Amino acid sequence: MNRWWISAFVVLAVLLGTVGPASGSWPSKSEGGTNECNGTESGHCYSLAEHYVKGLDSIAYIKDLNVNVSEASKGARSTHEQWISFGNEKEWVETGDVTGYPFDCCNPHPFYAEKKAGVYKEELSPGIVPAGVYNHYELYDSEHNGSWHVIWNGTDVGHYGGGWPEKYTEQNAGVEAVSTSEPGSLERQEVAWSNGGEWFPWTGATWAAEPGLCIKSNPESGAAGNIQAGTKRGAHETGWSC
Amino acid sequence: MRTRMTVATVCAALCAVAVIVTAGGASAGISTPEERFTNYRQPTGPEITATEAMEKGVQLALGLQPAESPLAASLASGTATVEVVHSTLAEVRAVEEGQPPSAAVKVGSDAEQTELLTSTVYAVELTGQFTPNVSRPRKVRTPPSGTFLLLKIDAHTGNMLGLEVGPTPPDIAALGPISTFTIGTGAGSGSISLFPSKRGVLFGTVFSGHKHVGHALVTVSDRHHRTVATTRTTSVGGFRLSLHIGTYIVSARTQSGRACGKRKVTILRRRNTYSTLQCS
Repeated sequence: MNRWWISAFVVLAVLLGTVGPASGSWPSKSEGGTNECNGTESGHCYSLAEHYVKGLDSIAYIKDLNVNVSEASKGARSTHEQWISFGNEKEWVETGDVTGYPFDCCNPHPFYAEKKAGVYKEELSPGIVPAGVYNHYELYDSEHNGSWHVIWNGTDVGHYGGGWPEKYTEQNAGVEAVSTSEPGSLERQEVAWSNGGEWFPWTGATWAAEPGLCIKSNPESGAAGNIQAGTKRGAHETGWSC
Repeated sequence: MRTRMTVATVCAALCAVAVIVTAGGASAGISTPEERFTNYRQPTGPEITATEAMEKGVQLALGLQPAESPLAASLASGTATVEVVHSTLAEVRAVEEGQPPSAAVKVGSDAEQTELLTSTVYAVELTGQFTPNVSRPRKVRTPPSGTFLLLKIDAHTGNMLGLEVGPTPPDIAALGPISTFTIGTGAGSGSISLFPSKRGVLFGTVFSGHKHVGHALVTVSDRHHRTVATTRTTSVGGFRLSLHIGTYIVSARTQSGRACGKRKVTILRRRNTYSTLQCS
């Protein structure tokens, strides 16, 4: 009898160890995963909030709770960021922080990028932003002329002025992961929009979390668009079972 | 959040007042700790060479691509070319926007940005087919692609500070003298010409997938299959040999004996020839 219980315990322990959230693999199709999040080289996985409004200014406060991109040296990345777009899904402006390639596994670097007229440009800071605090990333058409300024913690760090519309029509903010194995990635965000004056909370935000990723309201501020998002591994490593 | 924004607004207003007061000289003797968004400090010390920047650029470009990318094929067939020019980040950004380097804005909004803008970089431009696996919005399923890839590489650290990909490359020749390299079997007209008169340099990188293979044995043989030179790759997979002008076969083996292919290379007088080897 004792031997039977020991065997059962061993089998159970092995099973638990195999299916635990920190196993490092994206969920298989049988677990509800998709190819996009299940090991394809170029698969991009998202957990984010979306908002549709015409605005001049978009802000995201981002707090990094977990970043651990194990395959950073193989091109893997995870970003905590916001995107704005203008009714054309092939063009956008984005800013936030990136962990992973071409940097190391575990330190977030601020970045901004645009895709416009078939050209993609990306600027990476070699510096590391502090984790565990809300860092401020803003995209602002301050001159009302389609030149989008990138502002980090109140400092104008660059702009894209290649004939963008005066106002964006869509805001997205959250987590993107690009990795063949599941990275650790978790953030909290607080978001808002503006037409150059008062800041407004998002209204009617849509959440989108692909299999293998987690999303819930930001426990520190639950307004629309304020979410806690990341991978299951990132959640597990910070004590959140999702 | 409203509280945080209010605090930020008030802080911004106070900072603006502080700047005005400082400009007026009324705050002499008062020092405030310098606040930076990141831990970045402008690097100092020796810079990497144009050749090293080119090697770094190729490695970074490979890491940005899927393993089966057209870039990998270009490298294998020897049809990829790389141009390298030394400049500052601000000047490269100006040229990317279609402006002359003299139009570069070299003063940032704070000390950190000024240090970054005035830091020296190599603009490394590869031609071929590129689909860097970069961030994109959720609804965009097709990654950005183009026929050139411009990388901005810190001249001190080798860190990548940015990239551009698209159909028409910016005019980096406006930045200064260009070193041109042909990757694979060709030769390059680099800025380095300190070789003995009848010799050139073979250098390259040994890969296993995207991973650099350290301590691999690199062998160079002549047309009679006689070994003329051997060396071991560095810990990051690089190797370099000075050879008499001529045509050779370069091959490599990992420490465990795995073959890393063979490649025909031609060494030209006072020229750099770059070659990559991919372990099976």
